[in-house]
Amino acid sequence: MRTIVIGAGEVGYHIAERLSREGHDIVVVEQDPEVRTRVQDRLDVMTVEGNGASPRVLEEAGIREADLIIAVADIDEVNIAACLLAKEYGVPKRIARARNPDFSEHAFLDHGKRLGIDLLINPNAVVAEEVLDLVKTPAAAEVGKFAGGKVLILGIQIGPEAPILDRPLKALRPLHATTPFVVVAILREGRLILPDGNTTLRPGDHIYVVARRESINPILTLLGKKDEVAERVFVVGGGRIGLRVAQLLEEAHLKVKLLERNPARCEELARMLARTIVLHGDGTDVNTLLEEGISDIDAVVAVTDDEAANILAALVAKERGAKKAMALVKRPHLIELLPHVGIDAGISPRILTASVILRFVRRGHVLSIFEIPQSEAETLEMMVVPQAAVAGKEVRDAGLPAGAIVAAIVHGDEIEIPRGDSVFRPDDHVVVFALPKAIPEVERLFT
Amino acid sequence: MVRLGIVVNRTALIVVCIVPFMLSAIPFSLYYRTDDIPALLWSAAATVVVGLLLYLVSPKEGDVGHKEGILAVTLGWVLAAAFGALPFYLYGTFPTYTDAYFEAMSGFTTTGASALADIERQPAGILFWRSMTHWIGGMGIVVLSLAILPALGAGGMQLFKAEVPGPTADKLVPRLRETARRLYVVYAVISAAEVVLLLAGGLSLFDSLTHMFGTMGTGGFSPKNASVGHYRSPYVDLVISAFMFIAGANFLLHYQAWSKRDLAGYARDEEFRFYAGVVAFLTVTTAFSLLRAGLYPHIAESLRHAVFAVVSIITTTGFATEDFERWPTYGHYTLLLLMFIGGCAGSTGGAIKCVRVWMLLKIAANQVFRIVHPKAVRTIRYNGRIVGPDVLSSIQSLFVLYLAVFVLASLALAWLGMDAITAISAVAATLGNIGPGLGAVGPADNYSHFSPVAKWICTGCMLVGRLEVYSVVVLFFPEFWRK
Repeated sequence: MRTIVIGAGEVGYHIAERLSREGHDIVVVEQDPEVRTRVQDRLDVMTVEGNGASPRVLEEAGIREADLIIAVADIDEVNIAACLLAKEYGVPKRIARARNPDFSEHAFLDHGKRLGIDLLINPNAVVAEEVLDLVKTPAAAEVGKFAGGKVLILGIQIGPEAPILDRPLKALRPLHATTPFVVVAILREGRLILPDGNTTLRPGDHIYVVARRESINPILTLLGKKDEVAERVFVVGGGRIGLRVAQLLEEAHLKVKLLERNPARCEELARMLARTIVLHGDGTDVNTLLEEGISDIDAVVAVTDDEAANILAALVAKERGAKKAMALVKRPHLIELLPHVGIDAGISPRILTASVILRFVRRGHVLSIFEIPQSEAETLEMMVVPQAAVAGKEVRDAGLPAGAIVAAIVHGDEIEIPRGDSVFRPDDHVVVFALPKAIPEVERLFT
Repeated sequence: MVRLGIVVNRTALIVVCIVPFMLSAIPFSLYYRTDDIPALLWSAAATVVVGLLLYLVSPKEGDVGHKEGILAVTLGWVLAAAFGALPFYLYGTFPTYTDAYFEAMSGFTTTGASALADIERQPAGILFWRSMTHWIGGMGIVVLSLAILPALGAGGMQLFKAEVPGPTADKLVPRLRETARRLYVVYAVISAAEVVLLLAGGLSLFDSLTHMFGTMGTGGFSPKNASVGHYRSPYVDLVISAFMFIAGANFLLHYQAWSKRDLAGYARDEEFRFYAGVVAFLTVTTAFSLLRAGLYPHIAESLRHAVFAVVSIITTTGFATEDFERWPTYGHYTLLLLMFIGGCAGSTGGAIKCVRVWMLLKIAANQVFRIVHPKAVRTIRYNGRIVGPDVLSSIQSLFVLYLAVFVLASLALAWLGMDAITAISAVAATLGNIGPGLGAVGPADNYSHFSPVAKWICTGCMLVGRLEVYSVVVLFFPEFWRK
């Protein structure tokens, strides 16, 4: 499959890397010669220098033979123009990123359909949804949803007070009868470990747990986390993302305070937000935060344009008693640093945008994807099609490769956390955790 | 700091790739009932054992950066020649390993300079392997290994860049492995066409294959003492001239012409036009100088020998039909000049490359223009595209480095007591991967009378020339090795 990626920024680079490994023939169009050279040297892709909205450049990139175009350049209009051109050149699938909600949300454009865009993705909206999920599950650093939200994967940082410590995971098996769950992976000192029954958790571990939505609370208790319902949320930064987050939180009936530095922007925000309290001030200023009662806040979300300021604001808030602090970071590798300084969750627009795009590209047999950060391991939700190799087989006989763990089987409304003798029935949805090397084999088994 | 583990791993993989080709000489040994099979088998076994050992003790995964790529490719070539020399040494073709190494490096770098005085006394298998090294080295040992070994995928681009000749390494298709494969497919198809035409000209399969290796790799080893002149056939001269010319052009153009079924790409390419223009101009003037000197009775014969010599030298092949040392000075001089120009980027030819010479001329013309119009703002374009300052300065510095290596090496040979013409042309011919030079290393002579030191200097020049100076020279900078 020939895929053209426009723009080799964080998202474009990541997508090109992933899809190239998954067998796509990638051509990257990038305007900056330095960035282009870096891509050419590091990835097994072809690169073309130029503007992605230029037919000359697109022809050079082989647009006539392309099967998919992913336009993720910095400028919305370039992405949209690239997709419009791609449609005329007969590219069957077209994906574009647009940060301006006028493009992504206006009813006339019909989510991009009217422009011939199959997936028009607004990273700000994706970020806002992620924030909402994180606010709703205060104990988790990451949340992924499967089976329409009935099954969750949570990334949880283990604290020193967790009752589960010093006991092998198999000691928890009796609990499975009432609250089934699977610890699919542990990130320990930057390395991904696949646990077995003898593994014991240590403070500082970052674990990934798959469970039913309704079993989350008992699991959190086990991990020494209190699962309280969040009510009061403090948003730092009133840019496009901050606005979007505030709107979404309002819709979820939460009490929102929004802090913005620019007075003119505050006026605008006040007009656009009905129930949110818009505040003028600096998110890293302790006095402002204390005045607004930061210690009673359930969650602080720092989403300004400046990632350093976000981390700082989250730190200050956390230190002054906020229960959960989240910071938006641009460089994804910063996320792994955040737990060490006490910030509960990092939000990376790049990772989120890329995973929405990857999910769309692989749509069909893969229904949903949750990427484990820093490792390229994935948790996939797949449908058991009747002709699949695993259909009708028990989990232990299905020939799953090493590095793949079945975390949940969803038969209709019934959710099973599987054992060796669980059976894959046709039309089941299956949640599988897989290391990068096991992913192709897993996908093959389910199609 | 260079990550040596991964370099050793990649080098081992590169070296092992020559083994099947070494074994491919054995059928000819069997057919001609020659006694060189043990030498070939032992050499292949030694290469496999050492290669696998290095592969097993080194880490398989790791980052192949710019430095690792350069080191792996250079080391790969040094070792490929070291193992490629084994058949010559074990069979006793040469009394010393120095001579065997000289011959193998000359083969892989497609130089075609021989330390062998009487070629025809050697057995078929040895001669087949000797010519085979041209074919592998022409398109590249590393490109070959990229095409057949999936394990080289990670960091492969760094290896590719370090080996493919020309200022920039272009891919044919997004995937490097596929690019390498298609390059070899085009190479093999053109090679097969030449074999068929040579067979049709009455050559035996052995002679057709070995001459094809020499032509397509732009190498120049012939299993005959008198080189291509042995056949005294205008047809053979013409076929080989044509295929040398093809092999000296950019294989990207061949691939595009083939995949799009369109020859217009050649006419549009600036480098190809320059290459064809130089060949045409020098062929015609050389032919007239031969006619004027009364060396050949007919214009047709003058043209035949002129075109063969000009194409043979500009493509850096080094086949000979005539002893051009007997030609008038104009002929010597043009051939010496051509030794520096060389073939096109992305070809199997060596030396400075047409594209660089052409760009240097453009840079110079630009400079002259700016003397006339000091306020003019101008860009230098190549094939319609603006050439960035990085590429321009890399072209200029390569030229300077090339000349610097040339000067140092020829000074060294002169120090060893050679006459000026021999010293100059021997270095020009080995650095440019041509083979025969002038004076004591002319087309009727060989390099066997060189002292061991002189042979090692020439061997080094071959490697420096094939890997386009930077990849080898950079290893001598302490900065390269520093943390």
